[in-house]
Amino acid sequence: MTSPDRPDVSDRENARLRTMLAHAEEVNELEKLHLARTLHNEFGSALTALAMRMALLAHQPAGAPGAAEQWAKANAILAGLTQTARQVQSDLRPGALDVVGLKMALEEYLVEFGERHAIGVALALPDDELALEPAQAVALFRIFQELLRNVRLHAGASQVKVRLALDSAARAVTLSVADDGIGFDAAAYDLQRSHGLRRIAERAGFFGGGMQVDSAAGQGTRVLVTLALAKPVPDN
Amino acid sequence: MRILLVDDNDDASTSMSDLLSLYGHHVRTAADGASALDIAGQFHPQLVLSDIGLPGMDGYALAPALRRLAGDRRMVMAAVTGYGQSSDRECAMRAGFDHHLVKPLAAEALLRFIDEQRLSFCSEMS
Repeated sequence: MTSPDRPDVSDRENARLRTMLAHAEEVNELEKLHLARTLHNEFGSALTALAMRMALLAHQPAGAPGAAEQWAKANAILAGLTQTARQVQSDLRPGALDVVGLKMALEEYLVEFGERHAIGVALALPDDELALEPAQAVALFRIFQELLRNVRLHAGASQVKVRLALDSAARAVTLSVADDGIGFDAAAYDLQRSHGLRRIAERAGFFGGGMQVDSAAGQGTRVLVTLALAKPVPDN
Repeated sequence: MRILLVDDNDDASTSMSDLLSLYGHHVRTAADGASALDIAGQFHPQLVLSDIGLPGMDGYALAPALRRLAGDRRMVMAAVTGYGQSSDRECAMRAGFDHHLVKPLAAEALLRFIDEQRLSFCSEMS
Protein backbone atom coordinates (compact mmCIF):
# COMPACT_ATOMS: atom_id res chain seq x y z
CA MET A 1 0.00 0.00 0.00
CA THR A 2 1.20 3.48 -0.75
CA SER A 3 0.95 6.19 1.84
CA PRO A 4 -2.18 8.31 1.52
CA ASP A 5 -0.30 11.52 0.64
CA ARG A 6 1.69 9.96 -2.17
CA PRO A 7 -0.78 10.38 -5.05
CA ASP A 8 -1.01 14.07 -4.14
CA VAL A 9 2.73 14.54 -4.39
CA SER A 10 2.86 12.72 -7.69
CA ASP A 11 -0.08 14.79 -9.02
CA ARG A 12 1.66 17.98 -8.01
CA GLU A 13 4.90 16.84 -9.63
CA ASN A 14 3.06 15.87 -12.82
CA ALA A 15 1.32 19.24 -12.92
CA ARG A 16 4.67 21.00 -12.45
CA LEU A 17 6.23 18.98 -15.28
CA ARG A 18 3.28 19.68 -17.54
CA THR A 19 3.62 23.42 -16.88
CA MET A 20 7.35 23.30 -17.60
CA LEU A 21 6.82 21.36 -20.81
CA ALA A 22 4.10 23.78 -21.95
CA HIS A 23 6.43 26.69 -21.19
CA ALA A 24 9.32 25.10 -23.12
CA GLU A 25 7.03 24.57 -26.10
CA GLU A 26 5.83 28.17 -25.92
CA VAL A 27 9.41 29.48 -25.86
CA ASN A 28 10.28 27.25 -28.79
CA GLU A 29 7.33 28.52 -30.82
CA LEU A 30 8.05 32.17 -29.98
CA GLU A 31 11.66 31.76 -31.08
CA LYS A 32 10.51 30.22 -34.37
CA LEU A 33 8.07 33.10 -34.82
CA HIS A 34 10.87 35.60 -34.29
CA LEU A 35 13.01 33.80 -36.88
CA ALA A 36 10.11 33.66 -39.35
CA ARG A 37 9.61 37.42 -38.95
CA THR A 38 13.27 38.12 -39.57
CA LEU A 39 13.16 35.94 -42.67
CA HIS A 40 10.07 37.74 -43.89
CA ASN A 41 11.00 41.29 -43.01
CA GLU A 42 14.61 41.25 -44.03
CA PHE A 43 15.29 38.37 -46.40
CA GLY A 44 12.05 38.56 -48.40
CA SER A 45 12.41 42.24 -49.17
CA ALA A 46 16.17 42.24 -49.72
CA LEU A 47 16.07 39.21 -52.03
CA THR A 48 13.23 40.80 -53.99
CA ALA A 49 15.22 44.02 -54.31
CA LEU A 50 18.29 42.10 -55.42
CA ALA A 51 16.29 40.15 -58.01
CA MET A 52 14.97 43.44 -59.45
CA ARG A 53 18.46 44.99 -59.59
CA MET A 54 19.87 41.91 -61.35
CA ALA A 55 16.99 42.04 -63.87
CA LEU A 56 17.74 45.73 -64.50
CA LEU A 57 21.43 44.95 -65.04
CA ALA A 58 20.55 42.15 -67.44
CA HIS A 59 18.82 44.72 -69.63
CA GLN A 60 21.73 47.04 -70.13
CA PRO A 61 25.24 46.69 -71.50
CA ALA A 62 27.98 46.67 -68.85
CA GLY A 63 29.22 50.14 -69.81
CA ALA A 64 25.79 51.79 -70.10
CA PRO A 65 25.17 54.96 -68.12
CA GLY A 66 23.79 54.06 -64.70
CA ALA A 67 25.11 50.49 -64.82
CA ALA A 68 27.82 51.20 -62.25
CA GLU A 69 25.18 52.67 -59.93
CA GLN A 70 23.00 49.57 -60.39
CA TRP A 71 25.93 47.31 -59.53
CA ALA A 72 26.70 49.38 -56.43
CA LYS A 73 23.08 49.16 -55.27
CA ALA A 74 22.97 45.39 -55.90
CA ASN A 75 26.23 44.99 -53.95
CA ALA A 76 24.90 47.04 -51.05
CA ILE A 77 21.79 44.85 -50.86
CA LEU A 78 23.98 41.74 -50.98
CA ALA A 79 26.16 43.10 -48.14
CA GLY A 80 23.03 43.76 -46.07
CA LEU A 81 21.79 40.23 -46.73
CA THR A 82 25.12 38.75 -45.70
CA GLN A 83 25.00 40.68 -42.43
CA THR A 84 21.43 39.55 -41.75
CA ALA A 85 22.38 35.93 -42.49
CA ARG A 86 25.23 36.18 -39.95
CA GLN A 87 22.86 37.73 -37.44
CA VAL A 88 20.34 34.91 -37.87
CA GLN A 89 23.09 32.29 -37.48
CA SER A 90 24.33 34.00 -34.36
CA ASP A 91 20.78 34.25 -32.97
CA LEU A 92 20.16 30.57 -33.63
CA ARG A 93 23.29 29.39 -31.93
CA PRO A 94 25.93 31.90 -30.88
CA GLY A 95 29.06 30.18 -32.17
CA ALA A 96 31.23 32.35 -29.95
CA LEU A 97 29.58 30.85 -26.88
CA ASP A 98 30.86 27.37 -27.71
CA VAL A 99 34.29 28.52 -28.82
CA VAL A 100 35.38 31.37 -26.57
CA GLY A 101 32.89 31.25 -23.70
CA LEU A 102 30.22 33.55 -22.39
CA LYS A 103 32.29 36.67 -21.68
CA MET A 104 33.70 37.02 -25.18
CA ALA A 105 30.39 36.00 -26.74
CA LEU A 106 28.68 38.85 -24.87
CA GLU A 107 31.37 41.28 -25.98
CA GLU A 108 31.25 40.21 -29.62
CA TYR A 109 27.44 40.42 -29.74
CA LEU A 110 27.25 43.77 -27.93
CA VAL A 111 29.83 45.45 -30.16
CA GLU A 112 28.00 44.23 -33.27
CA PHE A 113 24.67 45.34 -31.77
CA GLY A 114 26.04 48.84 -31.10
CA GLU A 115 27.41 49.22 -34.61
CA ARG A 116 24.32 47.84 -36.28
CA HIS A 117 21.83 50.02 -34.43
CA ALA A 118 24.02 53.08 -33.77
CA ILE A 119 23.66 52.73 -29.99
CA GLY A 120 26.62 53.43 -27.70
CA VAL A 121 27.64 50.36 -25.70
CA ALA A 122 29.68 49.71 -22.55
CA LEU A 123 30.51 46.34 -21.07
CA ALA A 124 31.87 45.40 -17.63
CA LEU A 125 32.97 41.80 -17.11
CA PRO A 126 34.33 39.98 -14.07
CA ASP A 127 38.03 39.05 -14.10
CA ASP A 128 37.23 35.65 -12.65
CA GLU A 129 36.35 32.71 -14.77
CA LEU A 130 32.69 31.87 -14.53
CA ALA A 131 31.92 28.38 -13.36
CA LEU A 132 28.71 28.07 -15.33
CA GLU A 133 27.02 24.98 -16.60
CA PRO A 134 26.61 25.10 -20.41
CA ALA A 135 22.83 25.38 -19.98
CA GLN A 136 23.29 28.39 -17.67
CA ALA A 137 25.64 30.11 -20.10
CA VAL A 138 23.14 29.61 -22.93
CA ALA A 139 20.30 30.90 -20.71
CA LEU A 140 22.28 34.03 -19.75
CA PHE A 141 23.18 34.68 -23.37
CA ARG A 142 19.54 34.28 -24.47
CA ILE A 143 18.38 36.61 -21.70
CA PHE A 144 21.02 39.15 -22.76
CA GLN A 145 19.84 38.92 -26.40
CA GLU A 146 16.21 39.38 -25.33
CA LEU A 147 17.08 42.43 -23.22
CA LEU A 148 19.00 44.03 -26.08
CA ARG A 149 16.05 43.30 -28.34
CA ASN A 150 13.84 45.22 -25.92
CA VAL A 151 16.31 48.11 -25.90
CA ARG A 152 16.32 48.19 -29.70
CA LEU A 153 12.55 47.92 -30.13
CA HIS A 154 11.14 49.88 -27.20
CA ALA A 155 13.69 52.02 -25.36
CA GLY A 156 14.72 54.62 -27.94
CA ALA A 157 18.07 54.62 -26.14
CA SER A 158 21.37 56.15 -27.25
CA GLN A 159 23.43 54.20 -24.74
CA VAL A 160 23.28 50.73 -23.22
CA LYS A 161 25.48 49.49 -20.39
CA VAL A 162 25.89 45.78 -19.73
CA ARG A 163 27.46 44.39 -16.60
CA LEU A 164 28.15 40.78 -15.77
CA ALA A 165 29.22 40.20 -12.18
CA LEU A 166 30.05 37.28 -9.98
CA ASP A 167 28.76 37.27 -6.43
CA SER A 168 30.90 34.56 -4.85
CA ALA A 169 29.35 34.94 -1.41
CA ALA A 170 25.81 34.51 -2.71
CA ARG A 171 27.05 31.92 -5.21
CA ALA A 172 25.26 33.78 -7.96
CA VAL A 173 25.97 35.49 -11.24
CA THR A 174 24.19 38.73 -12.13
CA LEU A 175 23.61 40.30 -15.51
CA SER A 176 22.55 43.92 -15.65
CA VAL A 177 21.40 45.68 -18.83
CA ALA A 178 20.75 49.40 -18.39
CA ASP A 179 19.70 51.90 -21.04
CA ASP A 180 19.15 55.66 -21.11
CA GLY A 181 15.90 55.38 -23.09
CA ILE A 182 12.32 56.48 -22.49
CA GLY A 183 11.71 54.06 -19.59
CA PHE A 184 8.28 53.09 -18.28
CA ASP A 185 6.44 52.88 -14.99
CA ALA A 186 7.84 49.55 -13.78
CA ALA A 187 5.68 49.55 -10.62
CA ALA A 188 2.47 49.71 -12.62
CA TYR A 189 3.64 47.33 -15.33
CA ASP A 190 1.94 43.98 -15.74
CA LEU A 191 4.69 41.48 -16.46
CA GLN A 192 2.23 39.14 -18.19
CA ARG A 193 1.90 41.72 -20.98
CA SER A 194 5.49 41.29 -22.07
CA HIS A 195 6.32 37.85 -23.43
CA GLY A 196 9.98 38.77 -23.42
CA LEU A 197 10.24 39.87 -19.77
CA ARG A 198 8.03 37.03 -18.60
CA ARG A 199 10.24 34.54 -20.42
CA ILE A 200 13.33 36.07 -18.82
CA ALA A 201 11.81 35.89 -15.33
CA GLU A 202 10.78 32.27 -15.88
CA ARG A 203 14.13 31.33 -17.34
CA ALA A 204 15.98 32.91 -14.42
CA GLY A 205 13.58 31.25 -11.98
CA PHE A 206 14.30 27.89 -13.58
CA PHE A 207 18.00 28.40 -12.71
CA GLY A 208 17.24 29.34 -9.11
CA GLY A 209 17.42 33.09 -9.72
CA GLY A 210 15.16 35.97 -10.55
CA MET A 211 14.68 39.25 -12.39
CA GLN A 212 14.32 42.80 -11.15
CA VAL A 213 13.19 45.70 -13.36
CA ASP A 214 13.97 49.29 -12.39
CA SER A 215 12.45 51.90 -14.62
CA ALA A 216 10.47 55.12 -14.63
CA ALA A 217 9.21 57.32 -17.45
CA GLY A 218 12.13 59.32 -18.87
CA GLN A 219 14.63 57.61 -16.56
CA GLY A 220 15.79 54.70 -18.71
CA THR A 221 15.45 51.06 -17.77
CA ARG A 222 17.68 48.67 -15.87
CA VAL A 223 16.98 44.97 -15.78
CA LEU A 224 18.93 42.86 -13.32
CA VAL A 225 18.91 39.10 -13.75
CA THR A 226 20.40 36.70 -11.22
CA LEU A 227 21.20 33.04 -11.76
CA ALA A 228 22.35 30.72 -8.97
CA LEU A 229 25.71 29.11 -9.64
CA ALA A 230 25.57 25.36 -9.88
CA LYS A 231 29.26 24.73 -9.17
CA PRO A 232 31.34 26.19 -6.33
CA VAL A 233 33.15 29.39 -7.30
CA PRO A 234 36.91 28.76 -7.65
CA ASP A 235 38.94 30.23 -4.77
CA ASN A 236 41.03 32.36 -7.03
CA MET B 1 0.10 50.87 -66.65
CA ARG B 2 -0.15 53.22 -63.68
CA ILE B 3 1.29 51.28 -60.78
CA LEU B 4 1.46 52.25 -57.11
CA LEU B 5 4.01 50.39 -54.98
CA VAL B 6 3.52 50.44 -51.20
CA ASP B 7 6.46 49.12 -49.19
CA ASP B 8 8.41 50.47 -46.24
CA ASN B 9 11.53 48.73 -47.50
CA ASP B 10 13.18 51.39 -49.63
CA ASP B 11 15.45 48.95 -51.49
CA ALA B 12 12.51 46.78 -52.51
CA SER B 13 10.31 49.61 -53.71
CA THR B 14 12.96 51.65 -55.57
CA SER B 15 14.39 48.60 -57.33
CA MET B 16 10.91 47.43 -58.35
CA SER B 17 10.06 50.95 -59.45
CA ASP B 18 13.25 51.22 -61.55
CA LEU B 19 12.54 47.88 -63.24
CA LEU B 20 8.88 48.60 -63.96
CA SER B 21 9.75 52.07 -65.29
CA LEU B 22 12.21 50.43 -67.65
CA TYR B 23 9.27 48.43 -69.04
CA GLY B 24 7.35 51.61 -69.72
CA HIS B 25 5.05 51.66 -66.69
CA HIS B 26 4.24 54.80 -64.73
CA VAL B 27 5.24 54.03 -61.18
CA ARG B 28 4.79 55.86 -57.87
CA THR B 29 5.99 54.60 -54.50
CA ALA B 30 4.72 55.07 -50.95
CA ALA B 31 6.33 53.94 -47.69
CA ASP B 32 3.16 53.84 -45.60
CA GLY B 33 -0.63 53.67 -45.84
CA ALA B 34 -1.33 57.38 -45.37
CA SER B 35 0.98 58.48 -48.19
CA ALA B 36 -0.34 55.65 -50.38
CA LEU B 37 -3.85 57.11 -49.99
CA ASP B 38 -2.58 60.64 -50.74
CA ILE B 39 -0.83 59.50 -53.91
CA ALA B 40 -3.71 57.25 -55.03
CA GLY B 41 -6.14 60.20 -54.78
CA GLN B 42 -4.28 62.01 -57.57
CA PHE B 43 -2.44 59.26 -59.43
CA HIS B 44 -5.45 56.91 -59.87
CA PRO B 45 -3.39 53.70 -60.06
CA GLN B 46 -4.64 50.81 -62.19
CA LEU B 47 -2.56 48.39 -60.15
CA VAL B 48 -1.47 48.54 -56.52
CA LEU B 49 1.25 46.25 -55.17
CA SER B 50 1.27 46.53 -51.40
CA ASP B 51 3.21 45.02 -48.55
CA ILE B 52 1.13 43.97 -45.52
CA GLY B 53 3.49 44.77 -42.65
CA LEU B 54 3.52 48.57 -42.94
CA PRO B 55 4.16 51.10 -40.19
CA GLY B 56 0.90 52.53 -38.81
CA MET B 57 -1.97 51.43 -41.04
CA ASP B 58 -1.18 47.91 -42.28
CA GLY B 59 -1.92 46.49 -45.71
CA TYR B 60 -5.16 44.86 -44.54
CA ALA B 61 -6.52 48.27 -43.47
CA LEU B 62 -5.11 50.06 -46.50
CA ALA B 63 -6.80 47.80 -49.08
CA PRO B 64 -10.44 48.71 -48.24
CA ALA B 65 -9.48 52.39 -47.88
CA LEU B 66 -7.91 52.40 -51.36
CA ARG B 67 -10.94 50.59 -52.75
CA ARG B 68 -13.32 53.21 -51.28
CA LEU B 69 -11.17 55.96 -52.73
CA ALA B 70 -11.23 54.38 -56.19
CA GLY B 71 -15.04 54.14 -56.17
CA ASP B 72 -16.25 52.64 -59.45
CA ARG B 73 -12.89 52.97 -61.15
CA ARG B 74 -11.27 49.62 -61.94
CA MET B 75 -8.15 48.97 -59.88
CA VAL B 76 -6.35 45.69 -59.28
CA MET B 77 -4.73 45.21 -55.88
CA ALA B 78 -2.08 42.63 -55.06
CA ALA B 79 -0.65 41.95 -51.63
CA VAL B 80 3.10 41.29 -51.78
CA THR B 81 4.14 39.56 -48.57
CA GLY B 82 6.60 37.14 -47.10
CA TYR B 83 3.77 35.12 -45.67
CA GLY B 84 2.95 32.33 -48.10
CA GLN B 85 0.53 30.30 -46.01
CA SER B 86 -3.03 29.79 -47.15
CA SER B 87 -4.33 31.65 -44.08
CA ASP B 88 -2.31 34.73 -45.12
CA ARG B 89 -3.74 34.50 -48.61
CA GLU B 90 -7.23 34.29 -47.13
CA CYS B 91 -6.63 37.35 -44.93
CA ALA B 92 -5.43 39.31 -47.98
CA MET B 93 -8.46 38.26 -50.04
CA ARG B 94 -10.84 39.14 -47.22
CA ALA B 95 -9.26 42.59 -46.95
CA GLY B 96 -10.09 43.16 -50.61
CA PHE B 97 -6.90 42.24 -52.44
CA ASP B 98 -7.39 40.51 -55.79
CA HIS B 99 -4.05 38.69 -55.74
CA HIS B 100 -1.44 37.53 -53.28
CA LEU B 101 2.22 37.43 -54.29
CA VAL B 102 4.90 35.98 -52.04
CA LYS B 103 8.33 37.50 -51.40
CA PRO B 104 11.06 36.92 -52.36
CA LEU B 105 9.60 37.76 -55.73
CA ALA B 106 11.49 36.97 -58.95
CA ALA B 107 11.65 39.71 -61.58
CA GLU B 108 10.22 37.45 -64.31
CA ALA B 109 7.28 36.48 -62.08
CA LEU B 110 6.55 40.13 -61.33
CA LEU B 111 6.77 41.18 -64.98
CA ARG B 112 4.60 38.25 -66.08
CA PHE B 113 2.01 39.11 -63.45
CA ILE B 114 1.92 42.76 -64.51
CA ASP B 115 1.67 41.77 -68.15
CA GLU B 116 -1.37 39.62 -67.33
CA GLN B 117 -3.00 42.56 -65.58
CA ARG B 118 -2.20 44.85 -68.51
CA LEU B 119 -3.79 42.38 -70.94
CA SER B 120 -6.91 42.12 -68.80
CA PHE B 121 -7.20 45.91 -68.79
CA CYS B 122 -6.69 46.01 -72.60
CA SER B 123 -9.27 43.30 -73.28
CA GLU B 124 -11.78 45.14 -71.13
CA MET B 125 -11.24 48.35 -73.07
CA SER B 126 -11.49 46.73 -76.53
